[in-house]
Amino acid sequence: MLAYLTRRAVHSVIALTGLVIAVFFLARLTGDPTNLYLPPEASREAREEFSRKHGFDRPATEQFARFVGDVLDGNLGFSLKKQRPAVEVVLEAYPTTLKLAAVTLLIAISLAIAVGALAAYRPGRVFDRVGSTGSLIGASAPDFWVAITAILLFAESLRWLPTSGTGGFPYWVLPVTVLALRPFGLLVQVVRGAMMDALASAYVKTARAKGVAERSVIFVHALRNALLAAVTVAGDIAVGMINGAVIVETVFGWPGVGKLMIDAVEQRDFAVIQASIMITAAAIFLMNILIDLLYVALDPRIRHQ
Amino acid sequence: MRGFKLHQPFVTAASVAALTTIAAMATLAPSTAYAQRTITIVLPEEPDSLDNCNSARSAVGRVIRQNVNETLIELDPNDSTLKPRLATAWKQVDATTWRFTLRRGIKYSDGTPLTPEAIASSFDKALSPKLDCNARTKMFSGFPIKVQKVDDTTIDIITPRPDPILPVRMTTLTVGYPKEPIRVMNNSVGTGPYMIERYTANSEIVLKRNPHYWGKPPQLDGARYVWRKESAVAAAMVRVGEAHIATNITHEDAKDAKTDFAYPNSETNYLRIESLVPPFNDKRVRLALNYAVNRTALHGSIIPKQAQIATQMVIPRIAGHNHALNKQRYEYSPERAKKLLAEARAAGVKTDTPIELICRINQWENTTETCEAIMAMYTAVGFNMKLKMLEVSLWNQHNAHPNKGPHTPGADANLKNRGPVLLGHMHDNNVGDPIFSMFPKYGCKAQTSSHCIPDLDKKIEQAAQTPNGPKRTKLWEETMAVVHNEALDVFLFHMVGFARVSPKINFVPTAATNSEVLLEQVTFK
Repeated sequence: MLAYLTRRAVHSVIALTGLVIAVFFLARLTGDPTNLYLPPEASREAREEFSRKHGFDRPATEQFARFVGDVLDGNLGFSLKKQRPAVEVVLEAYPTTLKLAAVTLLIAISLAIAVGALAAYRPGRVFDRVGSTGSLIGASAPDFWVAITAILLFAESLRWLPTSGTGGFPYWVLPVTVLALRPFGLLVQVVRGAMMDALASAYVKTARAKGVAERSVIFVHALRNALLAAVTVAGDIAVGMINGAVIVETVFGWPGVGKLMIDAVEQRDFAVIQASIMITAAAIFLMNILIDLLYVALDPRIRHQ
Repeated sequence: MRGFKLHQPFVTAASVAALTTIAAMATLAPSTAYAQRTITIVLPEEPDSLDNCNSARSAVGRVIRQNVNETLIELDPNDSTLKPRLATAWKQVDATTWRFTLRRGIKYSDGTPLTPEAIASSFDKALSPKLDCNARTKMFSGFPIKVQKVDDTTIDIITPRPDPILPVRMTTLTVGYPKEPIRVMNNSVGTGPYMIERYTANSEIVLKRNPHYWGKPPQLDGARYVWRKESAVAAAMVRVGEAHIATNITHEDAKDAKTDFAYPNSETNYLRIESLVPPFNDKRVRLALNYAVNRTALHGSIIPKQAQIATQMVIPRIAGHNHALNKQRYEYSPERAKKLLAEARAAGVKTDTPIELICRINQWENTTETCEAIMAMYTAVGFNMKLKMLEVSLWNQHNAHPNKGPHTPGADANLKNRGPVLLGHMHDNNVGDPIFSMFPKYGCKAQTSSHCIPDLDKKIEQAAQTPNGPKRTKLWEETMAVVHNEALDVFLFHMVGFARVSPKINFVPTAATNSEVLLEQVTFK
C-alpha cells in the first residue's frame, strides 16, 4: 500500500508541476494587473512604480524563478487584492466549499442509489418512468436558472426559505438542492443502468436459484457490483465540487473557493490563482486516493491485483 | 414480483448523510441576532480591505467613509458644496499653504484624542508610496502634501505646487489612526459615528456605535454589511426583509416604485474620439460621429429612462457644467452625418479608414447592447467600423496612453501602429470639480487624454489655477463649450444607479451612494 501511495504521490507531483507552470504563464498572458489596480488617471510613474514593486516589469521567466524559490520556502505569495498571504485567503474559503460538497454529495449519492436501484428493480413501471424523467431533467437543468428561480419562488414569493447567505438548516436547503440536482440526475442514470445489468447477470440468477433472500440479492450481490460505476462517476463529480461550485457560491453568497478563483482570475490576483490551484490539486490527490480505497473495499478483485 | 425491505446499508448511508449534514450545518453558525435598530446593507462586492487609506475605492468607502473614518471636509452630494466635518474652517494662507481649523474635543473610538500629529501620521501612511492605496493613486499621485502643526487645533497643509482646490481634494482623504504600521489593514479605527465591531472575511462586516463620537448620536445602533453579486438576489433580500438597503441593483430589478430609487451616480458614458488620429482629426468626421447616434432611441430602452442625455463630461450639479449646451445637443440626423462624411471625403479625408469601436464588457448596464446598437448606427451612415467587446484589463490597454500619432512620447509600442479607435468609456466625477474630468480627458499632457488643442489646454490650466467662485465656474463652462463645439467626444448619457430601500427605514440614495452610505442619515420609521 505504501508503494502504491508513493507512486500516486510522485505522479501527482509531476502533474501538479506541469499544471502550475501552465497556470503561471497563462495567467500572465491575460494582462498586466497594473491596469486593474490603479485608477485610470494614475500617472505613468505610478504605474511603473506599481509594476516594479510587484515584479511585473521583470521577464516572465524571472518571475517564475522567483515564484519557485518562494514556494520552496513555503511562501505561496501575497494577494494583490486582499493584501494578505494568498494561502491564508484560500484556506479561509476552503471549509465552506468542502462542507457544501460533502453534504451535497452524500445527499445526491444516497438518493440516487435508492432511486436508481428501485427504478432498475421494476423497469418500465411508474416509479422508473418518473425517476428516469426526473433525473434527466435534474442532469440537464442549468444551475444558474434553477438557482435564481428557486430564490424567487421559495424565498421571495412563498417566503419559506432565506434567499441566500450561510447559517442554520434553512440556509442549506436551496444551495444544496440546486447543487445536488445534476449529480443526482447523472448518478440515477448510472446506477439504474448498472443495476439492470447486474440484475440480469448470471450470478444474480444463480443467487436467486440458490434461494438467497431477495434483499440480499439486491443489496449484496447486485447493488455492490453496480456501485463500482457509480463510484467512478461520483468521483468525477466530487473533484468538480472540490474545485468549487462557482454558480451556487456566487448566487447564494457562499464564500467558497470556486467564487474565490473566479474573482482572482478576473482581478489578475496571480498569487491567489496559484495558491488555489496548488491547494485544490492536493485535495484532488487525496480524493483520488480515497476513491481508489473505496474501489478496493467494493471489489476484492482489485485488492488482489 | 418479489418484494424487499430497507436493508442495513441504506440505513447506515442515510444516517451518515444526516449526521454529516447536521455537523456541517452546525459549523456554519447562523448570523448573530441583531438589535432592533440595526440595519443590514447588501453590497455588490466585498471590500478588499477595511483600511481608511483605501476609502476612496467605492467598495471600501461604502462601509467606512464618514461612518468610521471621516474627512476634514465633506462634499454635499446634492449641490457639490463643501461642508465642515473634522475641520470647521479653512483658508488659503499662500499659494502653496492651506490652513485648517480642527473641531475641538474629537476622539477616536478607543478614546485617543485627535491631534495635528495624528492627522499628519495618518496622511503619511495613506499617501505612502510603499502602499498602493487608492487615497494616493486616485487623487494625490505625484502631488505629495505635508501636514504642519500650527497649534493644537490648527494645521497647515503644504502642497508641492499651487492648488486652489485643495479643500475639494481633501474631501476624498479620510483620517485614520495615528502611527499605524505601513501596511493595509482590516480594522480601521476612526473618529466617525461608528466603529468596526467585527469583520468576518468572505462573510460579513458589523459596525457598532462609537461611544466617543463628537457629533449628535445617530439613531441606528449599528449596521451589518453582506455582499451579493446577483442583483436579483440583493433585491429579493430587501423585499423579504432580510436586508434594508441594496445599494446597486439593475434597472430590470428596480420595478417597485415604493421601494426602488434611481439616483444620479455622477457617471457619464461616452465614446472617446482620438482627435489627433486620421480621419478623426477632421472636425466633419467628428461631427458625423455625433449626429449618427440616436440617443433618444437608446434612452428608456436599453439605457434607463431616468438617465439624462449628456452633452458634456460633467454632470449638471457640478459648478462648471455648461447648461446652455443642453439646448445645443447633436440631435440624431443620419442625413447630416452622411453629408458631413461626403464633404470630408471630397476634401481628401479617408473616411473609409477601418475604425475599431472598442467597448468594455459590463462597464455599464447593457454595455454590449448599447455598443451593438451604436455600431449599427455608424455602419448605416457609411463608417467602416468593427465592434470589439473587451474585458477590463485588455480595454485598459487602449485607455492608458492613447495613440496620438507616431510622434507621441510615451505611446505604447503595441498601440502606436494601430488604426483609429473609438473607445466606449464611462467617467465618474464624484468629487465635484471639473478639474478631475477636464485635465485627464483633454489636457495635452494627461495620460488618458486623446486630444490636444493648445487653446483648450491653456483654458483648462487657467481654470485649474483660479480659486473657487463664479470666475472659475465660467472658465470651466467655456472649456465645456470648446469640447462641445469641436465635437471632441460623443457624449451619451449621465447615468443613474438603482437602490432598493426597505419601507421600514428612511433613506434616500444620492449621488454619493456609490461611494459612501452615511448611516447617520438612516432612521427607522
